Amino acid sequence: MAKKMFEGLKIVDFTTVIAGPFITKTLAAYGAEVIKVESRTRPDLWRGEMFGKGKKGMMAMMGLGTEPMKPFNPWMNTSAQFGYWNTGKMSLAVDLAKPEGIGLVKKLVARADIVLENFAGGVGKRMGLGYEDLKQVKPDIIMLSSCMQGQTGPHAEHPGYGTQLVNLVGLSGISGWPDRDPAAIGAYTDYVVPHLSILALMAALDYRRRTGQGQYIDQSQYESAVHLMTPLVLDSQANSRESLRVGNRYPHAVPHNAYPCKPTHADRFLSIGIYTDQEWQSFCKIMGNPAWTKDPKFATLNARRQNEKELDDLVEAWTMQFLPEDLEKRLQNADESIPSAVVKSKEEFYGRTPAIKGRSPYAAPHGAYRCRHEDRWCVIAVFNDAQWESFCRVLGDPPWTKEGRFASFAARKDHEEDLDHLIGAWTKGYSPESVMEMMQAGGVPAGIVSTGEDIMELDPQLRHRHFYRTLDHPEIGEGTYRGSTPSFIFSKCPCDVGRAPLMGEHNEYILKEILGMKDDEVQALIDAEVLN
Amino acid sequence: MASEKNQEGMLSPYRVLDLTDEKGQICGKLLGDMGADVVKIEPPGGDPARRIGPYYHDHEHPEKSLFWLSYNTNKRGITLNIETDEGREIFKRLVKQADFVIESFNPGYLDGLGLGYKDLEKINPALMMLSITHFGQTGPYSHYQSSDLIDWAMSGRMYPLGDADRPPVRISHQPQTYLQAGIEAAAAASMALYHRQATGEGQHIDLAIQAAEAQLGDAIWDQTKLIRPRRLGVTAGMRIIINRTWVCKDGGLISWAYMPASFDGVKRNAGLIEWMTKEGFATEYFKAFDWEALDYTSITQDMIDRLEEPTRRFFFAHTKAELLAGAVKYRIFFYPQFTAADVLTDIQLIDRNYWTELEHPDLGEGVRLKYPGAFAVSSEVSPAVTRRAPRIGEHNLEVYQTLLGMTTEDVSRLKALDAI
Repeated sequence: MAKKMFEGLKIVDFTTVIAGPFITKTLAAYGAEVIKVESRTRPDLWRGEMFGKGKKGMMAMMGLGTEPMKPFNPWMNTSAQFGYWNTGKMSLAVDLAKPEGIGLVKKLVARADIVLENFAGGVGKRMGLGYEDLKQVKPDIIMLSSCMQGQTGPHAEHPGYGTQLVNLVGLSGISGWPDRDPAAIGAYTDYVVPHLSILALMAALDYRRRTGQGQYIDQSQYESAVHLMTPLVLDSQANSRESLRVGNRYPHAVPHNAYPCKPTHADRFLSIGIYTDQEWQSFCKIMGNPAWTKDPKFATLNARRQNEKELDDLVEAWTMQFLPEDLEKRLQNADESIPSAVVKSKEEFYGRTPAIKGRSPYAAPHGAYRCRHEDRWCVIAVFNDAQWESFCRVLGDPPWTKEGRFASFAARKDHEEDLDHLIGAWTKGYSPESVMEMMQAGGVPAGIVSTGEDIMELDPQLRHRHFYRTLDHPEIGEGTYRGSTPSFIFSKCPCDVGRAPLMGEHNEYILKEILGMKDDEVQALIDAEVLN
Repeated sequence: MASEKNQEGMLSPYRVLDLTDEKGQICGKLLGDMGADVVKIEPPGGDPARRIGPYYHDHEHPEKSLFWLSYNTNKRGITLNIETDEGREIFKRLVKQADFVIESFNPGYLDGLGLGYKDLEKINPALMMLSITHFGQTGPYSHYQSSDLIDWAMSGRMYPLGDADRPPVRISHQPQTYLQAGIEAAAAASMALYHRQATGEGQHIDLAIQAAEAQLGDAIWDQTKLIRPRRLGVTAGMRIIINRTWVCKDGGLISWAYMPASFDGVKRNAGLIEWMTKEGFATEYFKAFDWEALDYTSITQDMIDRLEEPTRRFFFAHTKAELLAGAVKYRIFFYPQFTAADVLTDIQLIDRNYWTELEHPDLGEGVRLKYPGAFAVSSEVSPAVTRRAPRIGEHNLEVYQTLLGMTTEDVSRLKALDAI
């Protein structure tokens, strides 16, 4: 096999969460040796149980969980989030509060090309891991510190995560609807900044090749991300304009919005299993105690079983109004919790929900009930008259498209709200996929508003680009990983994704194979609790 | 100017030919920030991105697009019509002297002109060519018409953004998906350079904007088979409502939510509790609350309301500036929601000499504009903005004379042929 792009490139990585690990995740995929230095005493946030195994952890994070959150426990190898951001790396678990730990890490730095860190301001220096310290052991080392607001300045120590930094950069203020609070765009900066880090690191490697000089790079994630805002920064100076969020409006296109469509995809189900009278009473209460629940034919478990078909129809008429996830939450969070689980089909219910299935034949209602379809949307963007004419043709040239108020781009802009309303009335009759296909056939920019399900299970383009890959992990299990091929595909350098490491998984390999330490030396470090 | 300091820039040995429209212009700009010689090639009449607003003094004019000015700094600008025979030959001569070509045409367009990677690698085997498109060079959607809105929607990022009772929403104003993709393109270009130094070989890089954005979506579905509902961030699930945006005394907005201790094992609420208590805003209920046990899966709405009521009063009693200063002092995780004007006057950025002021004689006498500076500060050579974006064909003579040895007459002749 051809040599990997970064074969021989050695990185010591102290970073945690996203902005740092995303850098090394990418470089590891192209063959860089990445040693993630972590420990029980200073773990990566993602090791926490809150982001724990699969569904439960993520549900808690979304506020959808039902089980109380557990205290932060750094000894987790099961976090899917950690597993995602740390593919392809090795883990060295070492206590950096001990001088032997620092000594060990310096041995790794002495043979490394790059050191990355995102310690809180000044912490690295106090531990003896500042640039000046590391330069002593490796004069041409390239060290990058990435933090919220840089290593210097009055706000250098203001703590935060990317979810907070988006506010400072100004991205929150321009996300959402003008009459509402900003939409929560998450830690957007965490995803933008790492690619700038890679650019700086690659340039530094080239500079070192040419000049022999290493360097220290102080990356303020704030300063990196303000580059996303330059047009508005200039607009503020040139035109004294304060630009805030404007929904989906865009001066250069009309129509330009997301429009409601007919539901698509498989039916959606929630399985429910009710056994005790308390559960039944609780369930009736959640349904709002409709009159039919008082009917004697549903009064007891036995009566409900006698009239099960009728009961199922009534329950389904109610569940059809809701998304299965919302209902599951309501049922599980009730004072008297009701066993329930989202399932994709009745077949899945009978195959895969033993907790509820096991209640049959003693429970009623008991089954998988059809729920409301998720909301489905398409987007359309019409930039010029030619696209507008095609757009009208796709709609079958209804009379309203010929009205004067839509006769020119300027006129359409003036009547954008009316236009959106008319388009929405049309799109509602079609699935988003068919709107996209019809529009694209006519040369009009249009797409579906993809959900996670769409892009993972159904998008043929991402599949074509090998965007997802399945990896096995001893504690997380088999999982499908997005972005396994980045947005860029090199014609001559394939990428190869390996699973994330367990805590300290590579301690022995790193000490013995990489550093050439003897068994007794390693044992001494274990005895002194340096390796943790 | 940095180049006059006779200092080796991080990427100063390299030349970039930039054919991109708005989808990729930040890529060349960033390589220019690192010291590369970036030549922006526009069709005669100017690049389409010059028609993207806002405009200087709101005057819609191709030399006054603030979008154009933002993402074409550190580039020299030439015009060249690569659809003519003469133009193609000139482009090939430039490619011989280039390290990178960046383009964002529809897939197949350059191949049709005989200027695809297969043609150019024959002229310059060490060439690194980056193609930035909505969906990629091949595949079922590769020829779809698209835009920022559509790339955003098809990446999975749009569906959860916004409010449950309204359509999904994109980030307003400038096309963020293009900026994200352009930044990734610059990273990919620098990675290809590393490979070239090791092997001597150039290559083609096929970048898809949809994939760049899709990579950034949260992996909720991947891990749970749940579809993330819109309006997460304002509500914790559907059961309770948590406030996350607080109004200050001067009308400013602050983002803040009480964080459960289980989030990262750190007492994230302590600083605010201390400050509110010190200033007498903490109610008896607030003081007695067991913050260690804060848990959004079990807390009731009534409890949240009783914690938020004094908090609301506290925020409303302070200005945005006071709150920011206090957040730093008490090490609190809250941040004001800045506008561009706030960013421009932020003391942190000023203290770090972030802004670079450039003269704009092109826009009027004495006009100066501040631009974002180094995206990272280096102990050797920091990225720097040294040159304002070029006017249409501003460097034709300079580039054609110095790189291709043309005379003034040659340039005039080519102009007459519509080649430049």
